[in-house]
Amino acid sequence: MNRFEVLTPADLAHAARLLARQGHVALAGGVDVIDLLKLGIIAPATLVNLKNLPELHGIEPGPRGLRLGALTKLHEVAEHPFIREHYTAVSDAAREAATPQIRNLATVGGNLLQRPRCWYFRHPDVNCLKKGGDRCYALTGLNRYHAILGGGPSFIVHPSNLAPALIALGASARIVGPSGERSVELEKFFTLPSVDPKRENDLKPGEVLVEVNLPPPPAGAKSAYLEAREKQSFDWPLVGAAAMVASDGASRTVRDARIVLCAVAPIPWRSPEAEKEIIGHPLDAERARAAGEACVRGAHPLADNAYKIAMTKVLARRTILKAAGIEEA
Amino acid sequence: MKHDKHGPPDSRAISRRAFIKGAGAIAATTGLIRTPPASADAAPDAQDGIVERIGPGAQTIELKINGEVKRVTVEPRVTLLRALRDHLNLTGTKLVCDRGACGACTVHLDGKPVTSCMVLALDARGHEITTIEGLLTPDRMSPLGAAFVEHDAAQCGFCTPGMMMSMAAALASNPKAQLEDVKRAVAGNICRCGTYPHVFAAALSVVRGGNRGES
Amino acid sequence: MSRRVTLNLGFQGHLEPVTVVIPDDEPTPWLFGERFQIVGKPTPRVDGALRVTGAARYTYDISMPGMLYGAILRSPIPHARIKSVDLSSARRLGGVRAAIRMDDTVVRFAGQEVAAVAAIDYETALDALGLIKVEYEPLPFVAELDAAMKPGAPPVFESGSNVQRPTVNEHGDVTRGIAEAAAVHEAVYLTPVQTHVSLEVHGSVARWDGDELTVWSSSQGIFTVRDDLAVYFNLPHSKVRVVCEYLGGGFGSKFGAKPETVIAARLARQANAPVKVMCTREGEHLATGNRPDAIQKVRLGAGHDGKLTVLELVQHGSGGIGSGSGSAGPFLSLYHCPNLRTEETNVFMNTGPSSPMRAPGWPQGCFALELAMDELARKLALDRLEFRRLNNPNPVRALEFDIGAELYRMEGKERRAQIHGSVKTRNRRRLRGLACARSVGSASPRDRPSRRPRRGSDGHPGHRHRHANDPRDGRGGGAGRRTLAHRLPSRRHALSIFGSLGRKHDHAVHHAGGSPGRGAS
Ligand SMILES: Cc1cc2nc3c(=O)[nH]c(=O)nc-3n(C[C@H](O)[C@H](O)[C@H](O)COP(=O)(O)OP(=O)(O)OC[C@H]3O[C@@H](n4cnc5c(N)ncnc54)[C@H](O)[C@@H]3O)c2cc1C
Ligand code: FES
Ligand code: FES
Repeated sequence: MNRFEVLTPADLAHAARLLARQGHVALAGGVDVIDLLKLGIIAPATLVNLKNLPELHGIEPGPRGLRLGALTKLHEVAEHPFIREHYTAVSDAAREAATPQIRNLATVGGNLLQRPRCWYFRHPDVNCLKKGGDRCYALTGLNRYHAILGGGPSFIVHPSNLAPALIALGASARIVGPSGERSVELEKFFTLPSVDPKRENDLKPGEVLVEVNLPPPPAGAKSAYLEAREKQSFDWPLVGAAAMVASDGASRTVRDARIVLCAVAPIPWRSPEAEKEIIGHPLDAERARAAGEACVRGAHPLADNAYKIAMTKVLARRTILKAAGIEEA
Repeated sequence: MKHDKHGPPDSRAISRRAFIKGAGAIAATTGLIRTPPASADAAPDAQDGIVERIGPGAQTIELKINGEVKRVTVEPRVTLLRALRDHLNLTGTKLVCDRGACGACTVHLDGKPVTSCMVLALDARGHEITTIEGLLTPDRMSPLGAAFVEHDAAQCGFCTPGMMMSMAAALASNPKAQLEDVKRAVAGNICRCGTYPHVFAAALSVVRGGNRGES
Repeated sequence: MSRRVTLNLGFQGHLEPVTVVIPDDEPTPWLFGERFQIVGKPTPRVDGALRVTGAARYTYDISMPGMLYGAILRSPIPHARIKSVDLSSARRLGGVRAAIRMDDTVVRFAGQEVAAVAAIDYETALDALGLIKVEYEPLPFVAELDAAMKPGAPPVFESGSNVQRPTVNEHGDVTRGIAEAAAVHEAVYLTPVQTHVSLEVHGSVARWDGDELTVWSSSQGIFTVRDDLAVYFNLPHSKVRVVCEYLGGGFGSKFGAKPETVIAARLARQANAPVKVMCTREGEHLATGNRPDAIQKVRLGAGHDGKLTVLELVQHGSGGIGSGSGSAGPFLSLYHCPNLRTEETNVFMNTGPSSPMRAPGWPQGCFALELAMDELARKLALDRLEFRRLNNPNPVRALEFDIGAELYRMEGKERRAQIHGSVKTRNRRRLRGLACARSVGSASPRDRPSRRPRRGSDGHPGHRHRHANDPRDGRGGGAGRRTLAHRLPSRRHALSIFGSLGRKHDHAVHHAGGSPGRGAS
């Protein structure tokens, strides 16, 4: 870990101005920043500590939805009764993320902005595509945890399991930069490696993620998040799925749906194909199965990760049924 | 901008080698150990809107650990874990993975378990820090501690203080914890010797009040 | 003088009287079924409270006035000639007190130690590592077992082929065994490398007092550490003292003075101050040992009567730059078979050296053999347990099969798993497994504590020392011995089992334990 100084800006505008400078990196919970520092993958001269900024704090439920300050801890998201009731997928995803100790440190903003866990990217001695090198080693190397969808030229998977749940519920991010503020749908915030392999999102230098806003869920909407992993206790997901399903009570006809996958693509992967399979139809196990199939229609597995295809199908089906409150036979 | 006064000369370059070389030069001139103590009002940079600037050299900070205020002189890059172990000789908190993945370094920040290897020491200022030494001692066992001994929940014992910290926090917030709850409580603690079933049994015995402990 | 004692030896239902001669002053051996005050009764660990409260001091926790922090520079390259190592900038960094390079001029695996520094704190030591300039001349390398076996693979050692001479065990005739078999199963079994991952990493604190070296080492074998250090530094054993009070796991990987321990001692000598060197977790995985991987070609055959006619293993495994990857143990000892052949071949490759890990070779071997036994049972349409019984040469194991079968109710109508009542699959089927292994507790004689309370070296007859290399990793044996020693009737029975000490220094025993040269004197 290199030496650095830590600055505490007086306010949001100054934070943005500092972060626009080269070699300045934002510090929230610090879980990913400290990890990358220890690996020598970042070596900033200055950390800009965001914890002092009041705009980034707080969980505010209201008639117009829910506001999550970027510094909200994952454990707060997981335990909040309003989130549990109205945004179940978000609550479940936060509850499944990481470990109790990490959830007490990690923030929502940091979770969305964390770097990939790809072992080539995180290896201090490997100069991969994401670090300015000339290739993605996962393509021909060890790739059992890598992308089956949206890959190329880099095959990382996006590590956040909160992001798919937030996207399933239509979240947007409010961002403040040196030249003003903007709001962006979270779905559009993440960018594919084909756009630029060196980053995973659209945060510009100097920009601070201030809050995540969730609209009120559509009428009759229920949501769920499920993940499959190698260990029962804490582990990163092999595959995760978030689903929001809004349906008419008796007929079970789906009026609106969002299905967003985790750990299968370089970004949280929304599947309009799967949504199409269920919207306008009464939901049953067969429809859910068809949606699961649709999720992976365009998948291209690498040498060691074809298992993710079967896993995604099953997980998407189960998550859709869970969201809709349908017991699997 | 006063950056050049404190920062290494070539800090613009993100190259690790270049940066560390620069750090070396600074270290040689300012001395790594003694620099003026930082407090909230140390050299505020009004025009930059900076309320605090700390480091890159070592500065004295105050940490409230086990109810006592301790002063420790560390660089900003020193983690809470290293500060506890290397600087304050509180070695009950263990260093194992140094990446937040094993839980051996668990301490409480304001009563909540966190991995101290993933917290900068300076970020722990203003919080109540509790380490295993503050939770219990051989002469002042807690019921949970006594249950750990009785149920043989430590083999090599290297993971055990971290397990204790996680479990103690979980039982404090949920005194009626069931098996699933105690399992989740230590989901972030790795035991290579395989003591989990004994840890669960110890915790559940306390929940049931079966263990009167020594305190 | 000696006396004769008749003992009932064996196991339940199979006891035989055996007469042995033991020295007069030996306590009478324990008899089958005897009841004791301590043994066989639950008793809390002597040091349970110390471990649970974090008060126990492991090697990693040791600190002493003036102690420096060491750090190791490891090669990022798997095979290279080291052309130069420039320590001068590292030495000039404020706070750095020592810098050394390793003796080797060639690195043979990524993670091999190249240089090391000691500084006033850990962060400075890391900075200093970044200032060391190493010029490598990369050489061709091979880091996968199948690639390393190929003719023309880059040699790991100059001296020759990566494929070492096989160890062959053979009796009967495999060809005949195949011919006689009613069914044959043939398959290749692959197992990966495993690392030990003790929670406490490898490492030591070293301190020199004149020409005497004291090392606190995270070790399962303080005597082997002492012996290695004595050789390395050309010191008499009496000048080297090794201490391990508490051990955060070892699993077989912590014997002898490994590079990090030698480095600590070298840095301490150069800095003239105590130095602590603990591996990083990365270093631990790369360089401190592992269980080798294996490619096992297996052929098993049996007659219609279910009797094995042939057992054949052709195994290749790699201990990286080390050896000892054999896995034939189970093949040679689990079943009776008239025609048996095992061939174990260690293959070098450019990865860290293996080290013993909990029953070296056995998990690999059992994995292959027991899966193959199941497959062959299926081909013969035999019950898997029955098939094993038919080929089992061992009366104890026959009894164990009965116990296991009863527990699992493998043979009853209720085929339910009893031990693991909670083992459930998602589709609500229960999983059931069956496999065979063998365990014989053993300890080398020098590792055993003296059964005879020994007169204290301070000459006081009341002080009894239990002299042993008893790793305090909390496993059953050591913990049991400590419990017993602790419960000896007199308070003055000293418990001194965690240190090795040169003969001359017997008087210092009470500090942290110790024993004369031969542990079990
Ligand atoms: C053992 C372990 C297990 C984990 N398991 C999971 C898991 O299962 N699922 C999962 O989703 N995650 C998991 N994580 C990742 C963890 O959730 C993230 O590292 C964490 O959420 C990052 O949040 P932080 O507040 O600590 O961010 P930091 O480390 O402080 O910041 C992360 C990044 O975001 C930037 N940043 C942070 N906040 C802002 C802001 N408001 N504006 C602009 N930039 C900002 C920082 O500069 C940095 O680049 C795990 C981590 C560990 C160590
Ligand atoms: S050492 Fe901090 S979590 Fe492992
Ligand atoms: S008791 Fe050894 S790691 Fe848990």
